[in-house]
Amino acid sequence: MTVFKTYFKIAKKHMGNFIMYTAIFLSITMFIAQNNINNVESYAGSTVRVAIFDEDNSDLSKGLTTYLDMQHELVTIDKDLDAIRDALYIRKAEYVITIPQGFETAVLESISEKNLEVYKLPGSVTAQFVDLSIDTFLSTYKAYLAGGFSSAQAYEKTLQTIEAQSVVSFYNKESGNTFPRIHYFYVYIPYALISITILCIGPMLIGFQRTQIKDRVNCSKVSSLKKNMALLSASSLYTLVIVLFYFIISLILYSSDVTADTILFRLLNVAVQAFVCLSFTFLFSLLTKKVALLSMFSNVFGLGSSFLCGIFVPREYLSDTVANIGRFLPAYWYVNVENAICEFSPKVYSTITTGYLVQVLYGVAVLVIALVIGQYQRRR
Amino acid sequence: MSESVIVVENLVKRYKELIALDHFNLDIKQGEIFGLLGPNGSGKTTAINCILALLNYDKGNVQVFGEDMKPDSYEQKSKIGVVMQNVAVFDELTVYDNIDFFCGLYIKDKKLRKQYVEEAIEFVDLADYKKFYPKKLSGGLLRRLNIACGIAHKPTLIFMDEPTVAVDPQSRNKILEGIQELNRHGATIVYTSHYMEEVEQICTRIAIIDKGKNLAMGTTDELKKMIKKNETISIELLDLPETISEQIKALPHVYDMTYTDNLLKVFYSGGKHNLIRLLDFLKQEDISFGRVYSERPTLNDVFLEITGTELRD
Repeated sequence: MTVFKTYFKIAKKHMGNFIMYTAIFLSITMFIAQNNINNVESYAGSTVRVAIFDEDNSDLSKGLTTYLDMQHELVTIDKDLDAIRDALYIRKAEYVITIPQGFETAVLESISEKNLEVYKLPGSVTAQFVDLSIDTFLSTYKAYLAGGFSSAQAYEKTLQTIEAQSVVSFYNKESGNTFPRIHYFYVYIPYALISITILCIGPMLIGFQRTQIKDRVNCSKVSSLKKNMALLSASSLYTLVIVLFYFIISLILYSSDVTADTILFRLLNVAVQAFVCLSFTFLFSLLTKKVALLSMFSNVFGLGSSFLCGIFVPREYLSDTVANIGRFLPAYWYVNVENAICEFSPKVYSTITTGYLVQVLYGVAVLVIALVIGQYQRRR
Repeated sequence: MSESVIVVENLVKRYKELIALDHFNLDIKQGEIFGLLGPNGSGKTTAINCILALLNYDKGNVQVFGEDMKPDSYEQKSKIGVVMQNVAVFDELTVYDNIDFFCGLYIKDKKLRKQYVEEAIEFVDLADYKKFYPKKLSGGLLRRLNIACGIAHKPTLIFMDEPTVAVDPQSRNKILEGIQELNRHGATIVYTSHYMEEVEQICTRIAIIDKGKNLAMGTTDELKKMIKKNETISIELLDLPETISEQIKALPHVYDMTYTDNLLKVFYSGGKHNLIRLLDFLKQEDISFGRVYSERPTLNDVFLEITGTELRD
């Protein structure tokens, strides 16, 4: 009980650390949840505000105008140098074209590649985009002319060619997986738990494992096992507070996504994952006496798990090799359970149970290793 | 004869090629302040760690309170207090909480523990610093806190491993007085140090250790009697003729003499009134002299004669 109580006296002194890390990781978790749900659902081409003065009034100039109207947003401005400059300055127009008289003739007779008079914003990326559109139109048009098509036919073919578009779709949308925001919040929790447990609980455990302190405790009538069990109990209580905090925050922020039949499964999943994180933290604290090394453990284990198990990158995007490596990490099974909860039905009970079981086994195995190391370390 | 509290027989501890303890023997009686004296790296701390079952050893036998000492000898451990060489306290806990924690490892009764903690604070004179964190304490105060953490539960056997290292003279005296007081209250104390003056001042028996071996053991007087040197007389002389030197060497109990930098040193193996006899001789030979010193042998002399090296080397 002395060790247990002292642990919390020390924890009180580390409260600043705890609040800082919890706030940081909670913010990131919320940001990720928000970011994922607001993801774009389709692609749309970028448009540029273009003003056109057609002095040629030919089929080609009209065709080009029509084409640019399809690709961009046509705006009307006064045909006056000052008005053009003003329009460019206030971004009423980003690209101003004057199609000179004789433009079509020049193109047909290949007198000139392009004798368009253009005003654009210097160094503007959007202007480059319009340049590209005009080049694409004219080069396609000229290719059809060179192929023996008449001007009208070449214009028709050009429009048909340019109108052909690629279809871009979203993987999970395509597969029908639409997840609520609460899912993204919970998926990210293992990373936060790994980091918070290692960075907040780790230093306190290391304090008890410092050679001088450990020797003094080992000289007392408190056994090493008793001391470690007391530390473990205190750390578990501390971790439980973190779990409940995240749980309550999820209930507050995503109340609309909360369903009575799934929320307890989620809570249990987080609790089991927290137990695994605590076991690893306990092990790491026995393997090092340097608090600075905990940060390295946290990064390697936290980031490694997050990238390999589908926390940072959705599972669907991971290659089979990466996913297979991820199977060896407990976070993989956490994400499995979380994904199954999203498709909640009696069919996924076995996935959820297996996920819990594998995580618990991980936690117990690591804990047993840690306790054995602790027993071994009582005598140098 | 008091009963033995610690018996160590033929203890051998190796760190790979290095032999830290080489057939080390000890027999510490109840009520003693037993000093382990030796230079840094001589094996004092290793010996203590082996006795406390903190270290595995290769060979030998350690008995504490009449029973073999093992990592799980909790009955014996409940009567032991340890003051480590390095300060072993939590930076996050106040002076009071630190002592309370270490006392709590032995004393479950809350009321009794509170009383013991207060007494320990009083004992090391830290009453004004109860709510201070270790980082705010000076080196001397930290050492006193370290001692309080080790003795608060009123152990009957206390190990003190160099408790006065890097401590100012005032704090050192307080610590030494405290150790003697603990002993007066019935505690057996095992005290390690490489400061021979401290050991000489407080220890009832001393073991001289070097290179993992127990070279000599006994009271201060017993140890001093083990060596040839009994007294050294130093006299400042402007000149010492050769014939006089020979005559001094022939004086009773003189076994050696040196004369360098106008300082005559005469070494006696025993006898009484050696100083008067030497000064009378010099007057008789009409040799004028300056300052005169007479020194009794120190533990350093004992160490020097036994090992051939200075204790402070």
